[in-house]
Amino acid sequence: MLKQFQSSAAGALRNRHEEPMTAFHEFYQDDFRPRGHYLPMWEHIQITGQQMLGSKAHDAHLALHNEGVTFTVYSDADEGIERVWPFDILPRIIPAAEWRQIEAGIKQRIRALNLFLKDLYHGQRILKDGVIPPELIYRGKDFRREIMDIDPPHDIYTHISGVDLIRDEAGNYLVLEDNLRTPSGVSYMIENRIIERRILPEFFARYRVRRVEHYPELLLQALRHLSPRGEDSAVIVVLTPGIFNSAYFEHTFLAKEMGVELAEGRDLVCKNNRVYLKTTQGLRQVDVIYRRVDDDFLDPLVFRPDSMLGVAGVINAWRAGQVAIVNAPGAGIADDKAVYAYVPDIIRYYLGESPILASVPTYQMTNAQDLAYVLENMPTMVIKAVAESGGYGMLMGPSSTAVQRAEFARKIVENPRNYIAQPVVQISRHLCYLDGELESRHLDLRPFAIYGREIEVVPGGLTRVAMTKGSLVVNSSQGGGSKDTWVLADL
Amino acid sequence: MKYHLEHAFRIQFAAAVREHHVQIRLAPWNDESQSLLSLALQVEPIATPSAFYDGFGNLAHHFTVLGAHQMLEFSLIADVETHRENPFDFLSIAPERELEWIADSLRQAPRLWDFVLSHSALTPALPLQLGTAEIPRWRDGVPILQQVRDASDWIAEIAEFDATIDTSVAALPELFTAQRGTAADLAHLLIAVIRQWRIPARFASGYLDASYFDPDDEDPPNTPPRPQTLHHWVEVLIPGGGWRGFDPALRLLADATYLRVAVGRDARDTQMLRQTCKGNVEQPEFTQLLNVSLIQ
Repeated sequence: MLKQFQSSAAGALRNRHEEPMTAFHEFYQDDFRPRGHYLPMWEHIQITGQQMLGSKAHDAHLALHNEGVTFTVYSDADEGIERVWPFDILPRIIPAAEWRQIEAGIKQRIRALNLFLKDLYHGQRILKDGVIPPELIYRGKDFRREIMDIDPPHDIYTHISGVDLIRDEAGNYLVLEDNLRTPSGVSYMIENRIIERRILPEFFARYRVRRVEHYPELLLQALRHLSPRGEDSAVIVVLTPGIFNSAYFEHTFLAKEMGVELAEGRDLVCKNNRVYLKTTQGLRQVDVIYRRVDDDFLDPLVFRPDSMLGVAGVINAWRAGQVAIVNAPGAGIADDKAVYAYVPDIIRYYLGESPILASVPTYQMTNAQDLAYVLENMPTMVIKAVAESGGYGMLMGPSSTAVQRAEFARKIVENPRNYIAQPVVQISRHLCYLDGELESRHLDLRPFAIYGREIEVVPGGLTRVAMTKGSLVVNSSQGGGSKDTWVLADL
Repeated sequence: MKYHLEHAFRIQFAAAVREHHVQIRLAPWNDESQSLLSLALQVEPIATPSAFYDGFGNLAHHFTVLGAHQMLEFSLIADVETHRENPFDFLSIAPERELEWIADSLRQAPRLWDFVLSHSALTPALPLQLGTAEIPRWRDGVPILQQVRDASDWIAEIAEFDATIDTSVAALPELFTAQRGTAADLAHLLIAVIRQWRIPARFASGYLDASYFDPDDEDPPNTPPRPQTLHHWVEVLIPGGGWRGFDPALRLLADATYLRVAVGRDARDTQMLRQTCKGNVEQPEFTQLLNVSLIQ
């Protein structure tokens, strides 16, 4: 049994030769020995053998299925709209010192981006000082003139952020994207942990793993903090577009865990700059809306008039300070992929500090030199539509066809502001237990930060795994899987 | 000049509706070119209107009628004093310094970029030529004011203002084909031309002196005045003069007989009425009555 396992692991290592050798391996050192923080787990696996992993993986899948932990993949029409959440039982482990750097970097970034948003929708000092080209903002799809000069409670725009991190070939953490609109995945982070604790209690006995399960509690505290009528009487709702949304599971999960109402647009009504929940006892004033509805659909009086998902008048209530909207409308311009390239400058401008976390080099297609370079080197580039997320509107150069590249080149030239390009980073890999074998797969990390009274980064996050061998696309909506993420406590 | 204006609306539904939300942009501006002396908004069934300034500086009002109703009436009553008797009354900048003045304005007020960069279906990026018509190009050394007036004249040659059209032709090149359009259509075309030159130009909606609706000389005797309606024109940032109004429909520069109500990138930003309601999917019957009268 043990022999069989070891040969599989060795096979997984040999398979490294089938892929570029440059990706950092989270689990193994260069001499193929497990890294120090993985040793206790490794030793345990060696003792129990591979069959144990197979049985645990089966149990995990069954538990996810029974508990209805699902995710919708729109292109998966043949399989119905929902899939059981794909989960790999081997956890990713982050030592305390590494986490301290991640945490500090994310807090710094969120502080700077909130100051940026406040400035952008008010005095626009950063544009006047020429730090960011105004054209970049005014051509941005998510820059919302409709909210100019509105003051959100406590000047917070991004109450919930999901910052996507990758590790480059040298193992350095880099920010890949800021998700500041309605980042999803947090429920899966918690479910992963619940399942992992149940399936692998013996692993937890060997580590001091920091909790993530208190996220709903932290979120609830932050939402209460925003209440215009005070924390004690805060009425909070989670506003969902409904059951057909890919993250509907998460909406119900968070509402349930926080003990607040899950509402659709039709359940709410505005009058005299206040928002009310329709209940069997009559109208009940709402103080905080954690909305999972995109800006475009949030208020038909202000944004898309044909939206049936939002609440007419909610922006006026927000402007009047009678309700808090989480995240604030208009926050999306700060995670526009073209603005992303300027985040280091934004940090220096508002905070006078050097960025703690580096960014991936980014080519602006509005820059003629960058454009020419990218068009010549498309096979080595990742090209992204600036306002898309979830892996949509993206070209992975190395795996693209000539036809796909020609199509993207045409789109870029037609609307250069809508695209950016980045060199392909061989993002780090980790061992995964897949179909009875130990295989290496690329992954990223989405830690979640909550901005209430202060910024708190939940120690952990959603580790997303590219389930297809060699693939660098980890997005859940593109068929990616996940791992539990263990942040170790200081000794 | 002092004006009294009353703008009344009636929205009649075929069956009762509820949760009726209304947002309007009808209140005249209050700035250096005109003073808003008084303003009242009446709504029936009774509702409590709230006011706010939008991102373009327009004064908007909104109100809600939650209960079932089949008809909604509201009217805006205001007194306004206009000051711009002579649209040329400003210290002009030498033509060779005008672009520098514009660049400096954009630096100091980045919000102006909206009126340079915005291209929509209503104000599209223009080709060099549309059909046989060559789009007016930027001419070095010619004052911006003169270039805008020339562009306005060019529009008058290719498409006529038709006050009887109540549906916008809007999109190019249909305007060229139809050779006629609403005031908004002509304004959009002028904006598109000026933005090609990277000069800030914005869409303006507002009221006109009642005399503009009097019968024309060629109309038969005793022809009654045409119903007054909201009008649309273009405002261009003129070096030394700030925002100045150009009306390609009437081929005039906006003076004290023009009362600005709303500005924006195009007509969608200045839309006078936005509403949503529940209970009836049929289009309601919509009537309005406008009366602008000179009181001094």
